[in-house]
Amino acid sequence: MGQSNLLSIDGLRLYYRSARGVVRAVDNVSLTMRVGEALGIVGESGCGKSSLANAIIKFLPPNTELYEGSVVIDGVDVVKLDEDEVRRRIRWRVVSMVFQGAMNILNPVIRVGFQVAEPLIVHAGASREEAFRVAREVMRRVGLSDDVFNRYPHELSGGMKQRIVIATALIMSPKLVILDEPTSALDVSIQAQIMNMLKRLKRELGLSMIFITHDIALASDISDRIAVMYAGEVVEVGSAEQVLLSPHHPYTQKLIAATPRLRGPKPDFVPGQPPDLTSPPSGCRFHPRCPYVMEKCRHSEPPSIVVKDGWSVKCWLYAGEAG
Amino acid sequence: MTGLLKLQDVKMYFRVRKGFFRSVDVKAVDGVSISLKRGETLALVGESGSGKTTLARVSLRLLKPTSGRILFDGKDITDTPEKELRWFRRRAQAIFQDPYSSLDPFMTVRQLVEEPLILHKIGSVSDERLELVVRALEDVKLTPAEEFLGKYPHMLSGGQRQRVGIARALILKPEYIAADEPVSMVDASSRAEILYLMRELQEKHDIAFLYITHDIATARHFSDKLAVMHLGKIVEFSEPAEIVENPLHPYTQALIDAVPEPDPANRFRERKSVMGEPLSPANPPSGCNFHPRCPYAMEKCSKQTPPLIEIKQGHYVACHLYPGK
Repeated sequence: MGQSNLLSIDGLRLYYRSARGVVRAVDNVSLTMRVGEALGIVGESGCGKSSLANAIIKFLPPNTELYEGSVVIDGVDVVKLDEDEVRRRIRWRVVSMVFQGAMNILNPVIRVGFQVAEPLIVHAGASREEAFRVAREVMRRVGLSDDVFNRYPHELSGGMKQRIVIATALIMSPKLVILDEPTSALDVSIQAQIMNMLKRLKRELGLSMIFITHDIALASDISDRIAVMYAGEVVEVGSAEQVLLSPHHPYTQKLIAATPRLRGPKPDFVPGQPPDLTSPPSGCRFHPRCPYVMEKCRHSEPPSIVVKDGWSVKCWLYAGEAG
Repeated sequence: MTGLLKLQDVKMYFRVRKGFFRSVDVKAVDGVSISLKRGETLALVGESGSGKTTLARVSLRLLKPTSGRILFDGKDITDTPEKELRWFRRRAQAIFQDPYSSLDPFMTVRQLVEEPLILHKIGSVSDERLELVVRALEDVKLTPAEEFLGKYPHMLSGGQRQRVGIARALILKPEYIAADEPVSMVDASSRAEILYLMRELQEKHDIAFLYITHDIATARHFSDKLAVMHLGKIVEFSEPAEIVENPLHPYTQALIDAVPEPDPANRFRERKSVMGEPLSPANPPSGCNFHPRCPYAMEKCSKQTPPLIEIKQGHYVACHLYPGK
């Protein structure tokens, strides 16, 4: 069981309608995740990483143009389920999500302990007493003392509010938690505490998580595997060691070089702007910004090339090697 | 390089009502002195609540300090009435943190960048101003400028919006710019690009920068002097390389340890030196205000405030671990 796939995404597409045309936010993404694993999804804003998260839990906006492919979680294909079934069978209890900025939308007039317990009462029909008991337990797990239960959001610091949001995501013991930029608004010291707490949850509960961020250094703090997204596509995926120590895709290389390091050379950056997803560049979507661009890159889309088992890269530079 | 901006023992207290009869002073900035030469960047590093933004606002005379002096180009502007500050308003500019909320969404790039010129009555005809706008856009590499003139903020990426913010600050040819977390809301992959741009413009126009950030790693690479602030006080000051190689204050050490670098081994270890939540300036601890978070706190630390003293050439620290000569 330990080695089985928790999540298999295959050929997933999520397109939106907009005034400027169809936005190809998630475009033919395939990924797998094992039980107990942390998968980091890294890319610039607008690369489709949050859309990918929404596609996994079928959280589709009204302007969805296309949603296809398969997302098999725990043996069930979410794409095929209707909204009602997703709500009853998947969200909260199998997959929960910590949305970006969620700590700012806690209800200001409800005690935080009740907000943590609420999904249990609403979705699982638990009694108040039972839900409160579980909520206290989960709050302890995320490092909040018992007296926090009866407080209101304004009485809590940013770090504590973020813990509340994470506790809410854990309340129904989901198999997978998706965290979208969970530390982006926090000070470094609090960011470190939250990351340490997530590492402990992973270790102690064997929690599987998808960790979404634009900061590859932060992703390295928790991820066993890292998927790099560019313009709606996964351009490189592999173990943290593979992706961070010998990045193959030029975009991955740039992202790593862009991290400011205290000791070492000045940081690099990815020149230019991310493309407009209504009309992504032809061929390889990264070609207008790529330092190694070849003629081929401009007109034909590179295939996903397997570097090693579990490590693949979508780049023409490696087309020769794999044969 | 000559002295341009000087803050002398600046204190900025805000009176906050506590209950009906009581009020307390929040000591946002509590006795800070800094000086900035032309063409120089001073990085001010600290967490939220450290007073770094308040200090920047004081330096722009957007706030009148509770005590202390502000000197700009040799003139004391601490108490100068607003209507006599026009010259200063033109020579000192700000770049803000949030390029999503600091630009009026109903104004085009041209209008946004032109606005400071109109306010300061520079360029009598529209054509004259347009030329300046185009030049400012070219300076911040929003090229071809003609393509950006008619765009609205929502049509731009975060990095591009921040460039518009920089162009707005730049168009008046200021001598001093306070940049408050200019890249914290920009993607990690584009941060360095914006900082290089600011560096380039600084050299080209000989601008003095106050670079306010919580990120000691970018401060290391993009400043000439670095000051670490904690709860309204500067606790360490030196050149950035010296601070990173040889951090003396436990708070500086903790900030340095907290910087994540891309390393696959990170996931197998807990991050070090986690020192609790930042403290509130409304209720600062006695003595050294870092002592409740300090791993080396001694008895003395809760009683006496350590002064900022020069430990070695050009390296200052306020900590009882380093008694002066």
